[in-house]
Amino acid sequence: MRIGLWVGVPLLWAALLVLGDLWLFGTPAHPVFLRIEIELAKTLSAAGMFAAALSFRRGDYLRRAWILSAMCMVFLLLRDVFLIPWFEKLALPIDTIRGMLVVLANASLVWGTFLLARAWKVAGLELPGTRASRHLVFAAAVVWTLLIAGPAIVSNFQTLLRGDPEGLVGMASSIGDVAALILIAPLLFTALALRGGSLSLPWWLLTASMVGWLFYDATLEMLPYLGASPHAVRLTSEFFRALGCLFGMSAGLAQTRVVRAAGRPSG
Amino acid sequence: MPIHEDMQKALESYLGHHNAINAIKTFSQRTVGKAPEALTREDVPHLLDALRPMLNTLVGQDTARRILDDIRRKVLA
Repeated sequence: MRIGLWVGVPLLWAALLVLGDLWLFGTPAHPVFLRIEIELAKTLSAAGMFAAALSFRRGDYLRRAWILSAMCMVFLLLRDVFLIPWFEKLALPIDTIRGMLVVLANASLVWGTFLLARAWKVAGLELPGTRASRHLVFAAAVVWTLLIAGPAIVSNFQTLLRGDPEGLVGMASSIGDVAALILIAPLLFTALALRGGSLSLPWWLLTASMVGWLFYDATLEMLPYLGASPHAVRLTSEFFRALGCLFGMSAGLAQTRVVRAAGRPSG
Repeated sequence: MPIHEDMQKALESYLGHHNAINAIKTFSQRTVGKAPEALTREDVPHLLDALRPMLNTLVGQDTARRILDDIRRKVLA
């Protein structure tokens, strides 16, 4: 199986995003370019994960995990539909609908990632390293994630205290990010446990996707404090969002490929 | 080649070296109460049944069944 393809496509996509952004920045086409790129990346991510779900049959453990992960992207795409200005003209509680969709997306992400992250335990795999070293890595993931996404929880809580319901949505989103990103550690350990076997590939790619999302949050939270321009912050965060989405697609497609290839009798 | 090495080799392509060895060791002791080196042809079906839940989780029931059938064919050939 060509690993380069699974890794190369997300990297190429992210590189083309940067080139397109630098080329179009300052023109009327720039926001359109970014919006199309974001929606395409989310759609590809959802499609890859749904493909993974369909490679399992009803009742299989990982089917539900992949469906929930894909549903996160579907809810975010639906939220984006409600960003179209036309919806503002309708007598609908647009902000509430958008907020609910973000909450649903985060709930799906956390539940799906949780199921993926504990697959090793359900399967009875032995993780590499000592128990102490695993706890150390997990603790590092918790600290790193809280450092990155923690301030957003506090600022959203302050917004909520001021009586703005947007704070509740923001808090749900930040808590969801923290919960899902902490699970990078078990995903990485699952990949390491299966190293050398064909089943490890989706777990490596899933880990890469979560790292992409971690850096997406990190750039949004930290770059402004480092004096980066709004354009630099936006471009860097979109770069990592693209990696998060496209590695998610790759993970889903790799899972599909691995399950199908494993099901073929050899020799 | 001894039976346990045959099974390890077959599982290795999916689970990797570390977990293939560990799975055979754990399940041969738990299921038939033997060390991997003492496995006989009669033990193979019991061991494959014991491996089923692990593979069901990782690749789904249909693929797990095909993998186990494939290993059974190779080891008992």
